[in-house]
Amino acid sequence: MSEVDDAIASARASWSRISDDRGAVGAARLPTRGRTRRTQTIGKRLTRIAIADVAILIAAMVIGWIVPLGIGGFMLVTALLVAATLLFAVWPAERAPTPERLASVDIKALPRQTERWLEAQRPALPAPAVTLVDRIGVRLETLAPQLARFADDAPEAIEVRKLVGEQLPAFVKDYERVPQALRTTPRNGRTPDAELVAGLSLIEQEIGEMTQRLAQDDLDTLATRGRFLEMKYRDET
Amino acid sequence: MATTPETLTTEPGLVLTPPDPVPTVSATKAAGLVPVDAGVKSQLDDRVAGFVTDLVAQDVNSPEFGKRVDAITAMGAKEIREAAGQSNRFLDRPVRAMDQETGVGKDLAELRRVVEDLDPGKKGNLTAPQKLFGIIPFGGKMRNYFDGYKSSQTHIAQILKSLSSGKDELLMDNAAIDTERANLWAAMGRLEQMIHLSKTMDAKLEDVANDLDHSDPAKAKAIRETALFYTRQRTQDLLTQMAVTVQGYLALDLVKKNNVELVKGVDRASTTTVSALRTAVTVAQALTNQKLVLEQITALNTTTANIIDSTGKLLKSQTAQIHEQAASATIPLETLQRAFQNIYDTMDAIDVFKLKALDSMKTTVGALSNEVDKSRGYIARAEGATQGQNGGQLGGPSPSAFKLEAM
Repeated sequence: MSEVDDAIASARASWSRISDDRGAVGAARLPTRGRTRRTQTIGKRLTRIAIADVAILIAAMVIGWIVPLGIGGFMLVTALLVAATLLFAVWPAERAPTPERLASVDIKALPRQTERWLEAQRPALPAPAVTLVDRIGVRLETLAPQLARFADDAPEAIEVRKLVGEQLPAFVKDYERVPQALRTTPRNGRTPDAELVAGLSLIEQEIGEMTQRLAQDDLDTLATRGRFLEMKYRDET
Repeated sequence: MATTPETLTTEPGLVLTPPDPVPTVSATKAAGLVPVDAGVKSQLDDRVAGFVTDLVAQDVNSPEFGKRVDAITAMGAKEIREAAGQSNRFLDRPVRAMDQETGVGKDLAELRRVVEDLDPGKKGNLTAPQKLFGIIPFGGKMRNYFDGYKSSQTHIAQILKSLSSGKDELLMDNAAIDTERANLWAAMGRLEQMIHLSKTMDAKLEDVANDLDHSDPAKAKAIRETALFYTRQRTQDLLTQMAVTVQGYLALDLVKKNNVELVKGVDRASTTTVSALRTAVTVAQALTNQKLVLEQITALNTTTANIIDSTGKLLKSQTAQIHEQAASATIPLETLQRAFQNIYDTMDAIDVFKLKALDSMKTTVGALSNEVDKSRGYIARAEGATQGQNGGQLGGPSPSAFKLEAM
């Protein structure tokens, strides 16, 4: 690859990153996933606000029955409503977890936490890696409910934690430590960007295989019960 | 009188045949049992051809050459691991089916005990009048005997219910075996593909090395000592695993056949028991003019007949005959005695079967454990190879560059 090619490639990469941030290209990529989660968190906040406001109103009504509130009381209630709404709109603040926290977080919460951490890394990654990060996110979302029935120290859980909680963050961190200028320079035939993409796609595949392995028992049970029904009820009538 | 006691109670003898033990499958004969599609074969051949051309094009001392040799050492590791995981799982299965202490075995033992208590042959002369202090006539022995049925009917009903759920367990086991066999079949298919791939690789590398002998002897030597050597090692590993898997596959079939026989036995034990109780009801009516009401058993009649459809039909046709015979007052007690004999025959058949089946099961499990142990060494090697591979691959070449996997 000549230097001109490198320059063109890096220009392309940064352009796609910029346009990605504006959402024009980003919307076409994986339109629903990020948005679904955002809708979910907004929904959660709205529920909290609604619960708080209703609680305040009921309290005001009960007090009003006993002692007339008057205009001052009405003002107080209104102020309380506004305060509660504002408070629950910004609190609790959502912050991406640190890699150190990922290593110790409960296995059931691990996929979601890793997903959020990956989401936060997106701006630092080259364009092809961002697509992969999205795909990893989808895989992690499938993996999350599967892990619900595993204890923290089950061999399956340990395996998942090793990959999702340790290897993946470490690998991305390694990449981020490489100075920006060197990321597109080939070394031993490959650029660090390419290494990142290759590694991430391997991780993505492996998470998919984990999902498959974890589902194996459920698939077997389903097939077995189906076969049992066949043996017991079909063969004899 | 239309029927004689013989036609009524002589049922076709229950024959339960234990399957033969599974012989040891040698590694050399293991390959070729599962057919590989011709299309897949040619695809695999293409893959090997591409890989070998690529390998020869590399400089012998370059890291790229090393990476490709690594790919050969890891060849089939995934397939071996997969098959090993599955073929080890069934080793705990046979023990469960033959367990005397729980499930069907326990129920049958209990049934025998209850039935022996009710056996008219063990009660002495039932028709002799009973006398208080040996002088005063008091009650009837026969009446007391049939009262025994009333007190044990709940117990019998329980045992029969438990037997029927035991039968369900056996069927469930067989369903699980079917699933496992389907999985094993798929695993064997992939192993077979890998065996084909590694054998083709072997032949190709040999050809290439022979060609290079004149033009580039150093490269020919390197290919023989690394690539070809590892390919042959992997072929051996794959064949060993294949042998174990095939043997496991056959052993699972053995367990299944055993279960099928056992289900037959359980069915027959239930039917003969219910049949004997029905006979007792009719005989009681005929001999003592006593209306023996066995509610639990009447309820069971219908359920058992439903569960065991084939033998249920037999039961239904018998009822009419029993009535006829008992009413015609031939020798009702003998009829009852014969009904009990049927239960004993069934149980003896099951016991004999179990002994023989246990024997062939033991032989099979022994042979299998042996083979599994032998193959463990290979699996450990395969495992080591994949781990090395995974460690290198994160930063290494993209995994799809030279994929040596089954389709």
